[in-house]
Order: sequence, then C-alpha cells, then structure tokens
Amino acid sequence: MLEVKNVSKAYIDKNRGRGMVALRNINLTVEKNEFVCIIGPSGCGKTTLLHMIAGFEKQDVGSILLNGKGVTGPSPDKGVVFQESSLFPWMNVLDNVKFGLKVQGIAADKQEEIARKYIELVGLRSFEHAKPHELSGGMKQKAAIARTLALDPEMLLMDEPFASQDEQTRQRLDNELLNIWKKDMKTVIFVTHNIEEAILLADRILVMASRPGEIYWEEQVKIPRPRYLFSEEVVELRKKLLEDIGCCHR
Amino acid sequence: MILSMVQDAGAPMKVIPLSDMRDKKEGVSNYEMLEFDFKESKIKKIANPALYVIISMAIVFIIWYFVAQWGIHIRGVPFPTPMETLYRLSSMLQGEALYGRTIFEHLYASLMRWCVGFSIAVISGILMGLFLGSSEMLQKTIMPVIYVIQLIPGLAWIPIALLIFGLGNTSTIFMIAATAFAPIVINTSGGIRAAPTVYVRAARMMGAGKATIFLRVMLPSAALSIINGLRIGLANGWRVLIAAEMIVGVGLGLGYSIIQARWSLDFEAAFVSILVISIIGLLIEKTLFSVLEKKVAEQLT
Repeated sequence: MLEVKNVSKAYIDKNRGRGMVALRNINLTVEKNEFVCIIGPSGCGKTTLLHMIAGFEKQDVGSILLNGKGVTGPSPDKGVVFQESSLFPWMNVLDNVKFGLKVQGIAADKQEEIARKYIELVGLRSFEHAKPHELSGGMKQKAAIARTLALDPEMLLMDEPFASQDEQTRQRLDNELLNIWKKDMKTVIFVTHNIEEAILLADRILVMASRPGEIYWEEQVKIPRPRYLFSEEVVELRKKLLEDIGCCHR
Repeated sequence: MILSMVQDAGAPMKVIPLSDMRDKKEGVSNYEMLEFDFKESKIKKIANPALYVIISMAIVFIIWYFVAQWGIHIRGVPFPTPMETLYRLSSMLQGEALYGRTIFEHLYASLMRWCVGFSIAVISGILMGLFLGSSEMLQKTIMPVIYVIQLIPGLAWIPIALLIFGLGNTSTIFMIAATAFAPIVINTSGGIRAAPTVYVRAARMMGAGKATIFLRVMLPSAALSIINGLRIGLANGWRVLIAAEMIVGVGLGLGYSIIQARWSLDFEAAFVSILVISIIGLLIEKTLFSVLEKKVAEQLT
C-alpha cells in the first residue's frame, strides 16, 4: 500500500530569485494491485508527484510511505517506465532487461530465464537481440516495461509511457498493458493527460489542477473490463469528467 | 490489365495503368509489391565516393600547378610542380635517400613518436576526463586549468619541453602528448556529464550503485564524445609533431626532412614530406576514426 500524506513541493529558480509551488497538499492512498490513473494538464505537477513516489525527487513537506516505510530513494521495488525511451542504446533488448537482474546479483542462468519470460510477456521474443534503434517507439516502450517488470517491483510507476505514440499504437499498447497487468498483478500508477486512456485503464482516476498542483477530484471507475471507447458508460464518464468536473479548464 | 489507384490531393480518384508508372530507378517496375529488393551495382558503390576523392585531389593539384607556375615565372623561384613532386616521391619510395635515410625511416620515426605521444595523451586524458567527469566539484575547480592548457599553442610548448627534457625525442613526445591531452580530457568529462538523466535514473531505479552507473551507463553514453576528443587530439598531435621535429633537433623524421630541405634549398624534398604527411593524416582520419565513429554512432542513436 502506498500512502502520500500532505505532500508539498516548490521549485526555486536561483537565477531569477523566484520560487514556484509545484504541488500543494497532496493526499493519496493506493491499495495493492490497484490501477490508478493521474490525469491533468501539462505542468500540473503530475510527473513531479510520480518522481517523488519513485524516489528521484524529495518532497519539501509531508511523507510518502510504501508499506509503512518512508521512500528515501529509487529502488527496484518501485519500477518506473519513463516517458522517453530509457533503454540503454548500446545494449540489445535482452541485455537491457538483464541489466537490473545483474545488478541485483541474480545468478546468470536465472537472469536469462527471467529476462526471457518478461520479453515473451510483452511479445518481443523475436526481437530480443535487436538494438533499441532497430525497434519502433511502441516496441521500445514494451521492452522498457519488460525491463521494469523483470525486477518484480511492488509498484509500477508509469509516466505518460505512450504519449509520444500515434493514436492507433497508443490504443493497442494500452490494451496490451491491461493484459500484462491481468497476468502479472501489480499496483500501477499511470500518469497521462489523455482522459480516454485513463477511463479505459483505471480502477480509479485522480484529476489534478495546475498552479498549484492539487488533486481536486477522485473518480472510481466501476465499468467492467474490457471497456469500449464508445460504450454508453465510457462516453458518459468522459462527458462527466470533461464537462462537469472540467478537467481541461482548471 | 494491372491497375493501380493514385489519389491526387482534392482531385477525384484516377486510375493509371501500372505500365505508365515505370520509374527511372533500376529494378523498380512493379508497384503492386509493397517491398522490393534493390541492389546498387558494386562498382557504383565503390566508384562514387572514389570519384569525389579524385575530383577534390584534382582541384588541389590544379591550384598547386598554377601557384607553382606563378612562382617559377613571375617570382623566379624554383617552386616544385605537382609532377616534379610526385616524380621525386616515386624515386624516394624506390629508395632514394633523404639526408642519409630512406623516406620510410623518416616516416617510421615520425609515426613512432606520434604513437607514443598520442598513447600517453589517450591514457592520461581519458583517465583525467573520467576523474573530472565523476564530480561536479572537480569539474568546476580543475576544468579551467585544462581550458588554459588547451589554449597554449603547440609551438609554445617548445621552451617548456626543452627546459624539462632537453633536445631530442622525449621533448617531441612530450609536446605531442601535451597538445593532444586537453581536448581528450574536455570531451571525455563533457560526455560523462552529458549522459542523459533518464538513463541514470533508470539505472538507479534498477538498483545500480554509483560505480556501476559510472562505468556501465555514463561511460558508454559518452563514447561518441570521447571519440571526438581523440580525433581532435590526434590532429593536434600530428600537427605539433611535425613542428617539433623541425625545431627540437631530432635528426630523423618528416618534420626534420622539411626543415633540412629548406636549409639545403631542396624544395622538392620538402614538398614530398608535406605530401606524405597529408596522406598519412588523411588515412588515419578516414580509416580509423570514420569507421570507429560510425560504429559507435550506430550503437548510440
């Protein structure tokens, strides 16, 4: 279970001598194996929040607890999938996936086995010897997901992982992600600015506003999966989020 | 009949027989396929780049020829023409001695000095670059010194070299190492500092410690920058080698040949030495570095 309590964060621009509050008083609890989407406009601090949960940045005020223990830095139990390609370009897919396992000191044959399993899971078996530059953008992100899952993290933190893909690819990747999630249950926190994507994926949607970054709405999504973009419930929820909650106007 | 659909922007759909769509490209005649094999003839593949080299060489030789004619007829000096120089080169390649030694011995002596000097610069420069790249504090305090070293012109090292090592080989080697060192350090540490944050964060997330991140993430991502540093260092070293041989008194080498030729007014011999120096420089650059850079760039993009 992840608990974010009264977290605030400000950035300081030393050159201009000005500070800006990025996040104010964030409270959030994510249950085990829950799929939570955080949506909000660009610059609302959703990536900052995710990076603080991941341990890359430190909050100024408040606490972030994973299973009751404070987050002090990045670690393999908090797997991150980044927005841009984070695969090491000088290693092939297999070596990329094995990197984390090697660092953990797992035996060589075991590394191979685990890596293959997750590469298979994301459907890249015939590309395990390909270098990242030989892969499409979508395949790169799938390989990155395999690399993160291979660490067997407690939580999967995804920072707009498919935002730079074209619409068709993004939808396909969303569906594949759901399938992976069903097979390999994890707590997922998925940051996106795409309302449809959030509705199709999430158990719960947190809506953020910017300046200052605050969570101002929480929506339980009770629509059974698989969800269809044009089903009545989805359209209705989309309308609610867009018009009534005003996701795009705050 | 085989038909293919072509859609003009805004215009109604037109139907064009495939036979009218033949392209000028060899081997492409059937647009029904999605993909096709296309082979460029091997001769063209090699001949095209070779042709450009030949043309650029020809331009150099033509300009050289006119400058030589101008020198001979207007100024009345024995300016060697391209043909005379090439002729002299060929006779030297066949064993004509140049100041008691063959051209091969001079070349070998120069190459050896350069190899030793450059190797020292590569090892010390990369180590220094890694050291400085490992911390921002070190970078800020020591880097200005490296920038100052980089600004010292190659020949300005001569008095320093002579004071420390005296006349001879060691001074030359020192000068080569000194001029090649700074660009290698700057590019190595710069490359390390410029390692993308997302790679470092990904590695930290996977549990990698500082040393692993440094050696297995930052160092490989700096490879292209390091190669660039080596390349600049190589050119610096090669230039200062010739200059140093001219002055530091080594008795053997291409730079020594140039200065001897100048004293004995054998300008042809000087031109031959310059020609050999350029060819060697071009060869190292084109074979070693271009290939290396291409390989690494492939890995990193």
